Amino acid sequence: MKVKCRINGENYETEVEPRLLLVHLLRDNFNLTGTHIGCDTGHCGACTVLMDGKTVKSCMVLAVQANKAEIMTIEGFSERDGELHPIQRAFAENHAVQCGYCTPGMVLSTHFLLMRNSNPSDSDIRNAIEGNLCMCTGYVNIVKAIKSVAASREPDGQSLENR
Amino acid sequence: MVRVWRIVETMATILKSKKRNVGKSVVRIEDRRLTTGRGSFVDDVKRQGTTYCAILRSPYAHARILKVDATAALAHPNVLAVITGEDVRRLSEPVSPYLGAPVLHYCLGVDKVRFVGEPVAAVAATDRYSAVDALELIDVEYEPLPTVLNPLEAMEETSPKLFEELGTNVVWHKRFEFGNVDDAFERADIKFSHELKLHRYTSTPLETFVSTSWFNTGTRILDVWSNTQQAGIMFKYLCRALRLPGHRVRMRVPADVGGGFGLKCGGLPYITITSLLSMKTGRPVTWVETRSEHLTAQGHSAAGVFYIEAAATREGELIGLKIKDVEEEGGYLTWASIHNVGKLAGINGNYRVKNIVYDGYAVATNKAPAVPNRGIGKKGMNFIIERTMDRLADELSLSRVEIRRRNLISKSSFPYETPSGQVYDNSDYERLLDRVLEISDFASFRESALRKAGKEGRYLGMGVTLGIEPGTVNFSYHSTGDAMPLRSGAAEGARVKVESTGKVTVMVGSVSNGQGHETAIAQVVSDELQVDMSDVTVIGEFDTFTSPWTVSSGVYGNKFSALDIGAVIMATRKVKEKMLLIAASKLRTKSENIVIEDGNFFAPSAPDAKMTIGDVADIAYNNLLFLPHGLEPGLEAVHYYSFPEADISSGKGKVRSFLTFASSAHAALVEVDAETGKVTVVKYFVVDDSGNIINPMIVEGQIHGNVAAEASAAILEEMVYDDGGQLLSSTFVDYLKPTVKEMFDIQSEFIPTPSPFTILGTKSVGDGPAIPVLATIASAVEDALSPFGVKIDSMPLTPEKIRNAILGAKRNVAGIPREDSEPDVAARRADLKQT
Repeated sequence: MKVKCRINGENYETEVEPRLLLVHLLRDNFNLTGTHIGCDTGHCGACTVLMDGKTVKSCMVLAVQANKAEIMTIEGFSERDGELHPIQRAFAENHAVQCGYCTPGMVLSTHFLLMRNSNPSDSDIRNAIEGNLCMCTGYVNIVKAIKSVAASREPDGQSLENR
Repeated sequence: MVRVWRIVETMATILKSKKRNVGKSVVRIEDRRLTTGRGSFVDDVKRQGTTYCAILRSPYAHARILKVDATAALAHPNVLAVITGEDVRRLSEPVSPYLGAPVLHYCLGVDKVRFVGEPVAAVAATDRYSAVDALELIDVEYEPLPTVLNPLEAMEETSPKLFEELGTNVVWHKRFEFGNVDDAFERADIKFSHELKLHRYTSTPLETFVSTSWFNTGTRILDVWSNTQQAGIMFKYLCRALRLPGHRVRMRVPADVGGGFGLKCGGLPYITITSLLSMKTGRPVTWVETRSEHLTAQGHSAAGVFYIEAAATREGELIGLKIKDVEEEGGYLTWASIHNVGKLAGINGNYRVKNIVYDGYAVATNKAPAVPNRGIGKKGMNFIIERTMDRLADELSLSRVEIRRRNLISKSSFPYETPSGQVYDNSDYERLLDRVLEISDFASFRESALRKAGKEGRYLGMGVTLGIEPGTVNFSYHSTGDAMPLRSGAAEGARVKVESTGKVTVMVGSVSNGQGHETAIAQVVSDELQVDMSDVTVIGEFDTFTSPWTVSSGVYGNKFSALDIGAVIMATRKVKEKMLLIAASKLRTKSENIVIEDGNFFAPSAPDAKMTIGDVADIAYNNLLFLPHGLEPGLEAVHYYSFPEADISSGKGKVRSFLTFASSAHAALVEVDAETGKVTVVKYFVVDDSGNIINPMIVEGQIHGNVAAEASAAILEEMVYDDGGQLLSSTFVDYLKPTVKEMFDIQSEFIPTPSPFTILGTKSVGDGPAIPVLATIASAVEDALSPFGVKIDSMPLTPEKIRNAILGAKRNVAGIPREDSEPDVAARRADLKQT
């Protein structure tokens, strides 16, 4: 079957088997290996990407379901000038990254939270990344990093993502 | 006079301005690539013509393999090769490297399978999906055999034997005595015994095991990429298994590995499988473990049953211990005995007790193999001594803090030799204890109304423990367990090169599994050479063809800050010496007169005549005739750093198994809901002495992660098998990993005492903060449930177990029905069925 979609602003088109998972399409067919696989059952969130503006676990989506979709993976997430996005910077500065395997999914889930909620509470943050497992950090510094991004937002309330 | 004064002034400026990155929470170099998805994990790189491997596994816990027929699988259009037990017997040698005797395993089950999930056949196909399809086309005929799952039953003579050739399931047994135990028990005022149990659980690195092998038919070199933690040990055994000479096997590990925690120390069978398939097909073969495969078959933290007899004086001094340690090895003996001897090494913990009998058994059962998991045997080691301290306090009606104070090794007795031959470098245990009591507000908790039981059925409790974190394995200790007789000591290699550009490149024999080694190495090298960290490139990959490496190379055993850093510093100093010679020659002075500041070489007596590090490098590589007479061009040095304090085993259980000893004091505040049995960790405190710290932010991160993982192991995680040996917790649905919602506040502090045994005074940090967590939470829960008189002897503390313990408790507490007033559980179940 044919899949035609936009990923990180570029057009992609290929023939796939109907059973191919989106995560394998991204990783194997398009070489976008920043999206990781950690559990195969939709529990760990390492494969989180944005599909039509919403986070999905790409191991739970068939490649063909992404036909005509707009997808953003971690590779498309940096600032235009190549600088780190404030979320990525906060993850580094707060040591929210150890092995880094969960990080792309965590960053995108954080982005999805902050898109909708510019001033998240502690429990908003925990709800937002509950579907992303991290085995290294105990989440302590991940929560700290997300809080620091929210706190550093501009006073006019404009979200960092819309700048 | 003016001139002298000017020198003094210059020296003062140098000292003040001396660059120092060590000791600072520098943001990690690795994070730019990792936060942007540009890391490079094993499965991220595709080789030309890559094929994919899938593995057929045993559905039985114990069975004879009667027949494996792969004809239909081989006929699948996308399948390139299949290997079975018969093939591996013919094409390879056994792969069990860690046990000297008594049995050898192949990479696939041959004749027999001994646990659910043991590999029996493997396929290589052109795509991942076809490989899995082909597994269904392999026909295996089994003859199921009786299983034995409980190690105590497995020890019985009449139990089914996993290895019939041994005639017993006890695959290792040794008894060691230190001091005079009979005498201690004779003169004791008080004696007691208890039985403790640890369960199976696992740290599940988020990236599973991956192995890619490519036998290049042109070069006849086998190239292997994997995320193993122990390439150094594995190399020789891989060559042996594949019958290939060492110069035709190249093992590599990429710079990015998605966590290890010990679970990736194994994996040799899988590397052998992909290699055999690649040698058959001549194409790259990649195997990516699924999560279910990881949970079912990669292995679990060693479970054990410990029988402890203790002897003490009435003042509370523990003077004698008799320990019988039954360690459950599972059905694949990769690590048999290692959890026993690992435990033995630090069995006295932070305490003075000298008279110890250690009676260790390693027992085979029809379960997944026991493997390293945040410390080899160390959780059992700590659980035994810390729970015994709690019990001793209770027996003497002393506080659990006071009993520890009376037994701690004092600050003045370091370096301290323990019964099993360890030499604890130094620390101040009492100060760690005092400080954890302070930051956890322990005293006021004891007095407060909070502790008074029963507010809405919620009970609060606190536990306080101490622990040691052995760092850097001396391989000699394996011979205590009769394993790995052919290696001893500990060493790591490093290569440091100042390039012709004046920039620095570093390579070590190990990789990082997320601990930020590249950053720590760059911090150390930039200090040594007084250059910016951004001028130092650390090549994070491992490659047997290009890395400086030894048998110790890898990431495990908390060795980094002693061995890897030791090698890096010594190699850097060699290069520095040479640069000083070159600069001195050019500046027409002696090298001892030269100092380095901000990347400049100069003599303080003539500070205006400067050379940059680039100028020096230019001479070393380009302007060769300006080199001092007889000096070899280039600025590169390799150093293999061997730990100076290692020795060989006496064979009587006494050996310096580990070389540094970090330590910590822990406190936990927990809440138990007596109605549901649910345990919640409210807050956790750690005061840590890891010696001097290279990057405090990273070390604190290690504390967070280790505490979180083990707290989860204490209350959530358990590998559950049914009576037939089927694993019931084989996905993240049934095996409960903590999400961010289960996490609690962790407060940590450092009180470093520099180790005299390492170059920078570092000790180690890795598994350390994990080691005392089980005992701390057990102690806290017992404290919370003290109104009921509940004793905690086994883990994990699941709601079911806590609820049953409360119901079974001797004491009645207002509002909580006693066991005899509670309807029988079976009767209740029957009722439920009827309704």
